[in-house]
Amino acid sequence: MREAIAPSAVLELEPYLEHVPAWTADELRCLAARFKGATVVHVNSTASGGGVAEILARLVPLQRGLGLDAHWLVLDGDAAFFRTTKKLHNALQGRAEDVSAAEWDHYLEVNRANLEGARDLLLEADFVMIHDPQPAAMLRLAGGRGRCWGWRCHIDLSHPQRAVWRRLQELVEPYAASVFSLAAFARRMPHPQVIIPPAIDPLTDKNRPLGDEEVTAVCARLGVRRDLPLFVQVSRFDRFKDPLGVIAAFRLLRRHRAATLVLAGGSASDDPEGEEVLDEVRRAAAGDEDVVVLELPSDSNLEVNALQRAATVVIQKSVREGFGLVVTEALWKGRPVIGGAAGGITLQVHDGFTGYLVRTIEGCAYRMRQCLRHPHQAAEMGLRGVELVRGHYLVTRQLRDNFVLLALLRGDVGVGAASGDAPA
Amino acid sequence: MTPPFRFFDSARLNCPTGVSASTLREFRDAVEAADSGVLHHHLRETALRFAFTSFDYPNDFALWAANALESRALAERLASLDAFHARDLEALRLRVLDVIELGFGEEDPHRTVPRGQEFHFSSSVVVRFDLGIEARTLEQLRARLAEVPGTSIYSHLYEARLLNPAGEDDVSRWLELAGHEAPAARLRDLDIYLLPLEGCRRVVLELLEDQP
Repeated sequence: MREAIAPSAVLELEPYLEHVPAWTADELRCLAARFKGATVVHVNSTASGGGVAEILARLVPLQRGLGLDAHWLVLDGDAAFFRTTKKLHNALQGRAEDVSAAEWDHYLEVNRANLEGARDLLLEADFVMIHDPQPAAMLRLAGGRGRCWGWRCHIDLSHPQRAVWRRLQELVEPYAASVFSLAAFARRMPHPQVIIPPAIDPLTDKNRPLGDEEVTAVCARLGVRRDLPLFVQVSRFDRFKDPLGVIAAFRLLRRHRAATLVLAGGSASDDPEGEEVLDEVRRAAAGDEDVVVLELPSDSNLEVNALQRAATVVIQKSVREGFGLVVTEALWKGRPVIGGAAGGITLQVHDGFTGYLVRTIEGCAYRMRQCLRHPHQAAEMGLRGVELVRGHYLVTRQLRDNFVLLALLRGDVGVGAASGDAPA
Repeated sequence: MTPPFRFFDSARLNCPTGVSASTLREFRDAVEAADSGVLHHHLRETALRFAFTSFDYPNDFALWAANALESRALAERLASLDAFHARDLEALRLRVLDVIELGFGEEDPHRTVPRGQEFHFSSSVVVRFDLGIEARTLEQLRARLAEVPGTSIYSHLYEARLLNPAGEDDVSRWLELAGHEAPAARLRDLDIYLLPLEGCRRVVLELLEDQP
């Protein structure tokens, strides 16, 4: 395993106070004081691409800024390992996949090799957070030793393929707690489960304010016209994100209104299926000059920011979704979102208040049309979205939640009972 | 001399139990078997969770009855269970079960809610801490109440009523000690159960604003 970010990567709270209430800093410092100097190690499978890497890239430096000795380790794995973990990912989100015994063996072997490479740090750490299924076997392989290990599951486990889940369940049961993004994803486990929705950072290139000139310049560079209503879906080229459904919905809309659709995304380094889906999308969009398909490198934060700000409406028509941080990003930019009624999108898209939830291609097309027909309503939904994110889905809230999690892992507090300096 | 009012706060996480209900029958059975912490979470912590919808239904059970089961009658009855006055959770559980079973006569208890609208039973884990903020005068109390986190308002005005044997909140107790009997009495009479957190903050500030 390797450290994903330099030890010097530290973030302070002060710049965030422009976006959140002043008491946020007091609250976080009070909580952080309980864990000053504690070693916290996060382990995941990719340093770039996808929501988990984005979260850790900010969470870890912020934890350091509050006095924790925080680390972020990334698994080393070969192509076969990542093909298997992609299968696991699909199966856990309900798709039919056949994971062979040899593939499970290789999965365990890669976990074992990574564990050995970082054994001292992991077993001596005060807290270890293992993210998603890829490194989930490590605690079992370590013989269940280790102090306070938590399993952080970012994906939708609400309807997993049973055989794959049973196997994974054996691996995650030894953890002290599991963390999910939504209550619907939780399973019956022998340890406490908690909900920590992910969050975005308002200070990153992906979310910082941009001037209209900058937005226009980026769009011009990407070949995206701004003279027509613009619908944008930004996400990995992944079947769960239903990019073909978005194109179909857009074509229904275009019977009534001229518009442009942008499907922008890249493939995370742990997603070998992305190329295949991108080819399907390109074939579906071929010859249609109003549909722009952009394959963006994983560091295209400014481009994503500009596209979301240029959008009239942002689409995220997922059929399965962990949380959907792209929805959070779009809401933060004041854009109404038309989202698939799946996973964490339902937490963020409050039907008729911050956007619309849809279940079909026809529903998506209808809501696209409705947003164009009622632009004032769409603008009001956008404003509500900003406040929703400010109150609930910024990284400062996630940081606070993680301190509660550490208290739970350490046994300072139990489920259903409070601890701390309660007033007399 | 009256000691200063010290502001406490709490940070909490929802803890799903893994038990969910997609019919009224399953819901009833899960309520019967739930830990008291689960009842506390769903009946008394709803105000902590953000909702755009108006505060028509002040607890999670009533909200689910209205939105997922689409049973307004059941929602109304569940909403009328005042979870902050009913201090005994076991007695409250029995009242909830009575209300649900009354609903069996009006609703098909086996009708399944749409996928994604199941009720997920949860508890919570809470860390309380001293915010390091205090108020020595009524004026300072007003100023601090205006700026502390909503979760601190919840601790002092909602939860405190449950923790205090006489059912009093922290703010009214301090006001009384400090000789402000009139606002203390008005605060004690405040029906917080029907107020979202920010609404509660606003009403309390207005109430204190009238004082000399």
